[in-house]
Amino acid sequence: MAHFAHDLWGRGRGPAAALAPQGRILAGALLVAACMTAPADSATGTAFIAAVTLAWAGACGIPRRAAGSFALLGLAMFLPYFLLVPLLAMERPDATAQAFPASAAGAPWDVFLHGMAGMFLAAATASSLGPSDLRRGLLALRVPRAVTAIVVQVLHQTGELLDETRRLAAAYAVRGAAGRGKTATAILAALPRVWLPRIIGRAERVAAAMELRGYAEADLRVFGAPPLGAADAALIIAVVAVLAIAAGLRLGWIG
Amino acid sequence: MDIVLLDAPARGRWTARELAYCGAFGAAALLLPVLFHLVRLGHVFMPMYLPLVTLAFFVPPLPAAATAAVVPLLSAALTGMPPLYPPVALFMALELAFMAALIAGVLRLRRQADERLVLLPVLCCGRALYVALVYAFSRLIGLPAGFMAGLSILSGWPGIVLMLAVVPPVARLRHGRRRAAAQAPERTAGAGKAAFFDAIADEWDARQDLQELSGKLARGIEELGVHPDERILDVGCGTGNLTRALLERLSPEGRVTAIDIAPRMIAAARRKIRDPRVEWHVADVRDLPLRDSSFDRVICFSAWPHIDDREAAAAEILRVLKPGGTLHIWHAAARGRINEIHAAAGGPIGRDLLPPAGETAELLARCGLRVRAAIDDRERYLVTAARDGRGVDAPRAR
Repeated sequence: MAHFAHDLWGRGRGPAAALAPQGRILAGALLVAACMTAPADSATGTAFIAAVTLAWAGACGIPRRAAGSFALLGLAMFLPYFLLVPLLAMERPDATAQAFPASAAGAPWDVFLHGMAGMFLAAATASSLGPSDLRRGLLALRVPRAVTAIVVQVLHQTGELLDETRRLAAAYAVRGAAGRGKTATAILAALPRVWLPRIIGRAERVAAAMELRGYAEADLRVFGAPPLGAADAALIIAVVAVLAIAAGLRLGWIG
Repeated sequence: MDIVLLDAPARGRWTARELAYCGAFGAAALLLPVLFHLVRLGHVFMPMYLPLVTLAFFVPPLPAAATAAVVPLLSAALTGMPPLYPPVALFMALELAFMAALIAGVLRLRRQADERLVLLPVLCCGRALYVALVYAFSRLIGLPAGFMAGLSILSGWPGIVLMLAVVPPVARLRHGRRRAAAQAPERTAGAGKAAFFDAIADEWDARQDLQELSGKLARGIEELGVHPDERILDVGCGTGNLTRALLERLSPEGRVTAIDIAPRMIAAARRKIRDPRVEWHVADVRDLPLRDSSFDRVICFSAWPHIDDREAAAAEILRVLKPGGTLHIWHAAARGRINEIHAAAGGPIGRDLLPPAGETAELLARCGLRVRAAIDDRERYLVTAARDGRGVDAPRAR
């Protein structure tokens, strides 16, 4: 989505990258909504969520490194929910000392599947968007200019701050704070004295530069945002259809 | 740096300053969790909350709340944390927006309110909202709601404690209190350093390879283009090694004023150098007992990292420089090496780190000096800047 994310994960170069940025953002958001709507307690629902997620990740061309990292992160975040199964089983009337009813794993599975899908869909969409794509896309979608300005500012300054943070980390290393405990303590101690005051200093400098150039949020312009083409329209229609199917699955009209 | 509480922008528009603050603190909120996870501090300290809660002390309610709402969702999309489902990112967005709006709103009504008194109830209310959302959602999808809510309370308190400790001192900067707050510890630190250098004054030269140093100094002075008739200020002269090298270069009309905070260093230098062209002072560079516009050149050799308030030092150096005069911040070794030496020395100088040359150049430019060169390589660290008036010859920036 921006330098920061692309630094971190790499850039997606799938066929979706050829579409208008507002189309990608809208499609990504609607697909997240579709996957959150589809139920995870049936085989059809599970297959639907998995298929939609994989298809969009492929279309955006999410880099392998990013996909692997997100998969590991997802496992780390969502697998612990299965530790709740014994607790949930105790609330079920059909539970015995020897076996938990399969239904006790329903809620953790719901969290796991929806969580993974949401994470991958968002990451895939983000990986397909450059910083200027994002700004143009948000403005074309008529997201409030102030919000767009904040997003653009945050992403722009994240890259700058990343460099500063790396320098700070190097300074800790030079001071010998290489071990986990020492480094952690040094970072905690540095927050009020170094890190946050430096953020203020950075904000002041950026503000001065922006004021000098007469920049304000109202000055954001859509610089040649490409209109939605036939391919974009087809994508949006397809995504709306996917959302409708998800609603049908949830309401029991399908499957 | 005096920070002012920002007023509402004209005609409902957000000012550039507000946007800059939102951007900077939003970026910090994106990065801090990554940093915390890297050193395994985890999420219990709620690192994303710190910058966003702090931001609320600096901007009006709407920008503060909007930034606080946007950042968790942005982070979810970019890094996968917090997750979009269960909707932790959404709950955090709501909680943070609520807290930010509340803090900024209270401060608009009572600008002088005590930061802790504002913070504590707001943090508690915010956490209560979050726990309520977690409870309701857990019930909705069939997770043990009481357990999940309890977990949220238990995992939240270290973050609340950290915010109560960290945010108020930073928030106070908006009153321009930073200098007052910083001066006391700085004085103590300065005294500690003077004592440290006093303690090693007699053995200082024995620790150096004076022959090699003197060669490096002579070559460096040549490269700096020192004119024989100049009046030069040697900041942090120590035992006078640079002073002596300068005297070798200067004509009988040239003059050196050498200052150091450590009296025993000055005494050692006096013993070593008996030359009428030198004037010695025990002085702090932030408060020089010298006249305005009295030096052609100021050289701060191997002393810059030991200066606590470098902006004040640069301002004072600017005062004593003649128009067109030149300042050199110089080390005859690479920055990494200097920092290793200081870290190894420990004590009051263990944390005296030499910043990157670009950062030093930025600071000097901010203080009104015109930066001419910023070199940071294996052999040396040299930042050259001039007071406006006439040009100087300096090595090209790399």
